[in-house]
Amino acid sequence: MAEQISRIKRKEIPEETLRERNLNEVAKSVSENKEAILKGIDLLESLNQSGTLDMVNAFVKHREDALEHVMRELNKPQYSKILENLTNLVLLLGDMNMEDLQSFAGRLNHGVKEAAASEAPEKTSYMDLIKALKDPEINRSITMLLQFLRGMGRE
Amino acid sequence: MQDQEHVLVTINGEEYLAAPGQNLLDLINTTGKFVPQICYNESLGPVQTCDTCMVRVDGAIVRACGTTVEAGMEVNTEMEPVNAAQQEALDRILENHELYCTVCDYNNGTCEIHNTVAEFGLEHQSRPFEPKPYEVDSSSPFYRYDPDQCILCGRCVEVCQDVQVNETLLIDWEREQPRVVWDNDVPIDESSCVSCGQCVTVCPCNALMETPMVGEAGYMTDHEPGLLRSMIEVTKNAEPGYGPLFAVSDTEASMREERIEKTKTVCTYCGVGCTFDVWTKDRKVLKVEPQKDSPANGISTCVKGKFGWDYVNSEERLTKPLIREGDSFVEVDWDEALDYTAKRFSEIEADKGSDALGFIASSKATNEESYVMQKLARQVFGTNNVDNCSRYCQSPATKGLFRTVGHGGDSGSIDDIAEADMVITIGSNTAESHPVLASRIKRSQKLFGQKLYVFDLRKHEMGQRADKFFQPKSGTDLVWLSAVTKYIIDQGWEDRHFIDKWVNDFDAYKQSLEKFTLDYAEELSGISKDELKQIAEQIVSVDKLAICWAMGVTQHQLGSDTSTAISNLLLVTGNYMRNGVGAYPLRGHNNVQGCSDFGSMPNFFPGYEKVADDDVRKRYEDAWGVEIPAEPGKDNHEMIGAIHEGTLHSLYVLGEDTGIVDANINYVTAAFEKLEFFVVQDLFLTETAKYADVIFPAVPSLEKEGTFTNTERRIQRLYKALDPVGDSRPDWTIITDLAARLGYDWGYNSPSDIMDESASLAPLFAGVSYDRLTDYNSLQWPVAADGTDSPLLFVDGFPFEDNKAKLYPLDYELMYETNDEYDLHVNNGRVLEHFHEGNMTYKSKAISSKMPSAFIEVSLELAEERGINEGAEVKLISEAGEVTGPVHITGRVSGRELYMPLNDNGKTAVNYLTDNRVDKDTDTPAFKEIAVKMEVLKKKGKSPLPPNNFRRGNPQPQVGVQPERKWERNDYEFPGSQVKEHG
Repeated sequence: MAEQISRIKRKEIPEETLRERNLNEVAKSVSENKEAILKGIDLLESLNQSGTLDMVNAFVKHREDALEHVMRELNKPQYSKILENLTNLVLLLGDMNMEDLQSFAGRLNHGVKEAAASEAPEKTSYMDLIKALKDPEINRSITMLLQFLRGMGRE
Repeated sequence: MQDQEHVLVTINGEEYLAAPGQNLLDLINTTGKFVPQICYNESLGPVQTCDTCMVRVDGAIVRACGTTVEAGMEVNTEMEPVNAAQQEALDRILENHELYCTVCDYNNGTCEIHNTVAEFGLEHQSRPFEPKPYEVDSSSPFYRYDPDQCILCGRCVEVCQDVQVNETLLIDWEREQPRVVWDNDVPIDESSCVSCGQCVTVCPCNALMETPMVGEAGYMTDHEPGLLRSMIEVTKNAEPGYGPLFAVSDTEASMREERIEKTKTVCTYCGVGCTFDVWTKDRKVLKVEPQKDSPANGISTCVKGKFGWDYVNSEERLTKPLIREGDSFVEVDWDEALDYTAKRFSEIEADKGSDALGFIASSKATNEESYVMQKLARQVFGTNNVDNCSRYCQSPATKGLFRTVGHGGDSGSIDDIAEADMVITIGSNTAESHPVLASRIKRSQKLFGQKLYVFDLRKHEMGQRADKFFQPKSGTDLVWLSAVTKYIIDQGWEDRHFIDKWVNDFDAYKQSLEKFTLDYAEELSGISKDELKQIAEQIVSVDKLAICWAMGVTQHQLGSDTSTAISNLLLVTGNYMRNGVGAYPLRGHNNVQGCSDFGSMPNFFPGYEKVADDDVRKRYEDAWGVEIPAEPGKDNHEMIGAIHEGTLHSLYVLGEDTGIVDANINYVTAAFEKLEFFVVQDLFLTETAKYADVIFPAVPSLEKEGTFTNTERRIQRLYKALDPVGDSRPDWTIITDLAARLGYDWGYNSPSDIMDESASLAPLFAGVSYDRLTDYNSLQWPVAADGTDSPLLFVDGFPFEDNKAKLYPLDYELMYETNDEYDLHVNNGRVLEHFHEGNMTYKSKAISSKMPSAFIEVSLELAEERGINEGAEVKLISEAGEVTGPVHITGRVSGRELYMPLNDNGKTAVNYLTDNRVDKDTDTPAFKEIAVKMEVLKKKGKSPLPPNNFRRGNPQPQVGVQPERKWERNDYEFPGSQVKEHG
């Protein structure tokens, strides 16, 4: 004779058992991932030392506020150009031929060095300029600049 | 011949063979050439609204999707004007759709706008995005519509009008700013929308989205609306070209895969067997996504399959085994519960014999779980007392088919029903009970001229849509079916060739039809002689006839005989052994077919092999190392009787709320009280479980692996999407553990091992294995050892000695009528929103908000006669018991017939009214034969049907999305012509 019943006596798992079970689970995982955990602790320590941990912690807790501030700021008209430029700059980098640029930059450095080293000269006359063209180093530079100007002007 | 079968088409200078009549875009898509296409969808066909698939054909720019291939066609997909036209179309789309992908919940790698723009290589748009003057519609609890993101591709309209055929959505092309509207432009929640979710499934972007997805899918989408808006603006500012935008959003999309799991599963509701991916994030179900390769359903779902999963995370789930102690259940650990159960079962067996125990398997559980339940009964306890809930619904259909054609299953697939020239449904509220299957019929009728004849007491949706609707008197289907068959034979219209070749016993059967004259049928069924003749004429005028039937046929005292009469008619007219024809008993539960298939029946081993057959029994005895009794055991109904008689002392019920769903529940629950030991295995503390001595907490389909078999005999795999809640366990594990405690170590490591054992023993499933069922692969039994399955059940004849079917003679006697005292007939069945006793669907707040309770449906005539109004409260009293409930007055029921949804487990539970009358051949309760009297408790009140129920909506039928109305607008210019002018 079993009547219809609906009361359930929940089995209260003692808090201690629950705690022990959880700890065992964690300990198992720690033991299985010893290396990663130790490295993680190392990382945490570095972050803590540098004060970054506190900062990140605060930021995460207030991320919604922070995001709102940042977004409000970024949405101001003056930033839209910057943001666009930022992306464009990245795109520009992609377009540049770094190898050529490197050689060009190397030469530029030479020039800067030379210019810095030289004593302040007297005025350069028109004739001096013509004469200077005979100097192979100056001639190479001028030729290169002319090529550059031609390339830049090309449609 | 070659020339007639194929046409030669040149695309970008290369020649391709196309099928005659093939859609050009279809052909291009097989060549690997890229043509943008956003409104086109393989499952929907050409919609012709997005204009992106522009190509040049013989010198003119046209939509590829609107073009049919012709011999010698010259097509170009890449030349400049083509490209410009495509770009123009894409620009127009982006004017309507803001690309803020990184903070969009739809950024999951499948956004078709995103992917098309990326693949096309569009870097900038020439015209900026223009917001539209409409608010987001979040009125529905299931999905939301954002007109601002909507590109008006009209896929949602196509699917609603022509696939689901609910005819709710349309695009109002004539207003200044067109938008998708529901009914006559009402909020979604107040429309005729049945929330099947198919519009959301086919939406190419985030315009239509499942509510649980919103703010959940992305890493950066769950912010306050204002903040989200700012982020969208920043995203746009910072990402000037689409290239960088996509780089960031694609990265975010792949990060989502880290925390959103997509798991293939099989729907756990009706017998259609829809399959889909379920998206979960931790335990949250984000969405259900059917696939075009889903074998039974394609991209279709109904509200329950798409949105009805809340029960899985219900607070009411049982999480620990329970043992009755005094007046309460006490939570115990598994060892204690299993040991105790094993001990009690053994004691009863030792004391009172094997047959003192009974086992009831579940049509909600997997095939493997049915197999182990019957193995537990037969091997461990040596009894055949094992049955399942198909006893309540489908056994008569199976019986009728066994008698005539030898296999108890659908003759073909759902595709065959869609392909038929004529469909007859009998006693089936298909649109609510098997919604996805009904949609196939509705589509074929709407678009392809399929004739639909519906026979039912109640004028439900299928009745309203039917070409002809008949209301035979309750329980008289056998009569009109036999009379129509007789008339066909009398006229010499039978399929003589088919009968001579494939059918036995014609003469004896013809003899038995003597009494079924048109006069007799008219008198008993109420269908006039002229109508009966017309039905016969219609049947013989078509080449392909499919008959679908359900509980309106089977749950009668002559349920098996009526099912037999259906099969007889099909045999006489030659409607077997071909595609597009046959018998389709529509199985009600996800696995009602499989649960019987895999042996949880008192007279059958798996694969419908008789326990009385010595050879078969020996096969199982050898495999299991025990002796099995040759006598069939008791079915459900007999078990309950045996408890009352004192011969059955223990019952183990798995996943079935027997105390609600069996007939005459006062009698059934009185039996439970007499049990010596009662074990119930379920997700919830059901009304039945409340009588148990031990309750095992089981898991739902999302938390386990296994297979289900749908109404098409299609075996499909489900994968585990979630971990079990608490200490709950899959049914197969519980039964296996119990067997182990009783000395039988089955050694199963997974359900796959169980299937292997079953396949090795049952010839019907010889070739079934999990390897052949991976992902969306499926097998329709019988499956030969080499894995060949049988989409068409009868190909080389019928499974009898001489390969011939049998015509089975029938008699008829009217068994049930209302009388002067019990003057009203109660019909009962399903509603779309709920399932069975409602233990699962009422856990969904969203579904319950649409349909909060059961009701008693009363005809306009009866309401007037009894002076009651909508919302009145009445008591119905039958000879077995009584129910009370709120009244809903409709024109769907007529005269003295009432209708009650069976989805209630309280005072409106219909089975307080049903009695012990059963189908004479299968013991299936005659649920549909209830005579009652009505007492009015309150004359009016609050309507049980809330204002936001779809039944109150105003559908707007039309074919497709009607793009011509878009083209007629003054501001519309064909991208091709514009390009020409400007270029």
